[in-house]
Amino acid sequence: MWLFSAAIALGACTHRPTVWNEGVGNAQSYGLDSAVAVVDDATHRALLLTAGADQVLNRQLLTVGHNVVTVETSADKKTLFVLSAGDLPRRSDKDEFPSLTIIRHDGPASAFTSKSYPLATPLSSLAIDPQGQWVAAYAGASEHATFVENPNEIVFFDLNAQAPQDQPIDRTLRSFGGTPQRLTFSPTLQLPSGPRRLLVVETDLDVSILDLDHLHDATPRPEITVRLSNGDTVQSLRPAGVVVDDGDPESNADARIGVRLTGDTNVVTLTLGAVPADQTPPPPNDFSPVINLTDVGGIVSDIAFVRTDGGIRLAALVPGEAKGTLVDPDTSITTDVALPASYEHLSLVTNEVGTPGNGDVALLYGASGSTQGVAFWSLGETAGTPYRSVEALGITTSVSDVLSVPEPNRELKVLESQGSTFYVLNLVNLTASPLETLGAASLVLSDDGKRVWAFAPGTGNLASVSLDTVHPIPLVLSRSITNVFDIARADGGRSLLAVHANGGFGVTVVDGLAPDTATSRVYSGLLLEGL
Amino acid sequence: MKNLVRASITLALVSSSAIAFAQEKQPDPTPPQSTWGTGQQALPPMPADDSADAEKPADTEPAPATKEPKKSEPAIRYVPASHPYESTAPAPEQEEGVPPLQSAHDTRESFWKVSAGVRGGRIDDPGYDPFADNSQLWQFSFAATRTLLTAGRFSFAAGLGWDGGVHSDTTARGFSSGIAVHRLNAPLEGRFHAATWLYGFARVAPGAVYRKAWIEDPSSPTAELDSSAWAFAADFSLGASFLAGPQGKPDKHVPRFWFTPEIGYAWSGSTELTLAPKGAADDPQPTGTTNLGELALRGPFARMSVDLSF
Repeated sequence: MWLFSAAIALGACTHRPTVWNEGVGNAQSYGLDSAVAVVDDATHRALLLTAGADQVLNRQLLTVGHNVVTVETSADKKTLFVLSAGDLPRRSDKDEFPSLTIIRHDGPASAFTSKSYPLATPLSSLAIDPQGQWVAAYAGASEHATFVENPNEIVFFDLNAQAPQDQPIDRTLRSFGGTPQRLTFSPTLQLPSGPRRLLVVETDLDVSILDLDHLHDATPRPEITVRLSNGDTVQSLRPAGVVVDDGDPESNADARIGVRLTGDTNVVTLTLGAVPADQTPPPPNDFSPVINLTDVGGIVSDIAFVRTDGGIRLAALVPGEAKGTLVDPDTSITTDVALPASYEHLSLVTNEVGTPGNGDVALLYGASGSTQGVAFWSLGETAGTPYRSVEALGITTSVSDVLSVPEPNRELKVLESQGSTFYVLNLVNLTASPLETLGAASLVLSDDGKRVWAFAPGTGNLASVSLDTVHPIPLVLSRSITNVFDIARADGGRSLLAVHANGGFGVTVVDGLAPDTATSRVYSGLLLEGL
Repeated sequence: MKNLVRASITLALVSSSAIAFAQEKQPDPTPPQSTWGTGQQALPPMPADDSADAEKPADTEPAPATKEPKKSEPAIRYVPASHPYESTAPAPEQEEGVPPLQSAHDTRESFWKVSAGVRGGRIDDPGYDPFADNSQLWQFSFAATRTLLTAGRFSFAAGLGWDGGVHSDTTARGFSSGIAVHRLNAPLEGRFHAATWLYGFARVAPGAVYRKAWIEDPSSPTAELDSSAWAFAADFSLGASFLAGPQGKPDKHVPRFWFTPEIGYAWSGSTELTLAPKGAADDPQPTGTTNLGELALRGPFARMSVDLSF
């Protein structure tokens, strides 16, 4: 009898792994070129979903660090970056340190691999190099995660380096009271000392420029800090965004950085020139910025370096004055151009329009409450004929965002509005085809430039719109949609993965090239697998 | 769960008491039957001892004449050769008033038996984790057996059995889940009757196990994922059966109550845990499956049953 009772007692002592007690939580999905990544922080995993023929969904699980803070994808969508804070406090050897996990693959037919880099301190923000060489982790504007934190510390990861240079590089920027808020990687600039890539760091108070090509030096080159002030008061100005331009390809002394400021009517232009020969001792950096501060007469919402028939200018949109201002970076002379509406954003479409060499063409949009949805600003005709340089298109709703279509339809733009209509804009023939939706719709472009998917989050309504014919194919899914991703398949086809982020996480796989719910396949409980 | 543990301990205590009760001297309604065979002759008297005469009290009456045994009748004791209990002394386990085991016709050895009990098992397979927060699997047990062969103290019985239970008070990542397990088997039992009130047994019970598992996952179009499968199974166990009573009337088929504790190992084949939305087979929409690996419902078990034989 005692044996019987003991057998029961033994059975009561065994409990299942605690992972089954972890809820699904707020698992997020991220689109890659040939997969959808679902980061399940509760179980410290990333689920990579790829599609095969006949809408078969393949799954691959990889481990990520504990307590995921932020996730980013690379510009080419082949790499996923997962920044984790680790276990704090650490109570055993099994508790993890902060880390950056990099998940990548070499093509739709290859499996994903991961590599983890431990960090000494938890960080909360990531900046991704558009050229795919660098990743920078920094504290950013988040709340403190530890008792003591260095907000000016940036950790760099060189993704192209071989051992031993593949280890993280710690840099602490000198501070004049500000902390890094935004990092921008420049393209290759022709500087007086040769081609160079730079990192522009915007803090609360100033802008710092760091030489990326000398980060591996045994003796690090210090950053160049440009303190921002309007000259009238001692109050420091806060940068609100930067743009970088290499200038004339024939010159190596006109690379520039443009800075717009928060709540100020000035724009700052930094021209990267040679170090003065008479400067002693010689500075550690082989370039030196020359600063120009220009008042454009209103709060600036967006800036861009543009080519006009009068040379390179810094274009600034001043929605409060319904104007655009062109600033000569060398002389600070400004030219105002009246705009038909208070546009807040501009996007250069010169290459898409097909008129290079005659000045840039900018697409203006984002005028809230306006009936002049978008306008073209032809900068080649600005000088002397400012009034004929802006042409509004016949879109009577406010456009909130412009999606650039990749090749082979790069002359097309998809315009999102705040209403229930979106447009397919042809930049060559200047036509805008409206597509009306039942309620607000989210738009996702396919990477092959052939389709745009429209869906209503929280419902099963979905549609595929061909960008060639502007023909919609309506689809209704059985579950509410959280997000959709158009991904490449290993067999050359394409699939749409509609994510249903409720419960254990579901996905509906639809053929991307011939969408039909009758051939789609429904998957459920994906985050229950592999535990 | 706790209630089942208490019930098991109570059953153990009750069965101990019942066994103690069963071993008490029982009034035997039937007159004892001699098992020493027929034709038993009285032994000749011991020779007289002169030394003892002085200690003998004076007889007031003359001693009765002893009958001299007939020379033609030797003092022999006949013991039937076929009886297992061939001894000149009473068997030590034999209680007064309780007829010992006789033959194949003893209904304490050869009988029909139906059993009802509780079975507690332990499943350590990782495939069990989504459906149970511990390793336990509790089931009700029902069985019916019949003694087919007897040979002295040994007998062999066979029958049919069913164990069924559900483990449903669980969640898998926050979603309600559960599993129902049903075992159908044919127990084959070899018994050793150590006494009229006790026999030990070794049992092999081949059969099949059916399991249905489910998770109430909102991501499923029908809000539930389930999976069901059959597999070959077999139990291997040892146990003992204690006769609570009545112990008499061995030649009559009277209802008798037994308590039977048993421990053993349950083996079953492994099955794929591929879950699909409930009702997916009837849905023309192609559906993918959720793969949770494999599940083998194997592990030690213990059972306590109350039996009725007749």
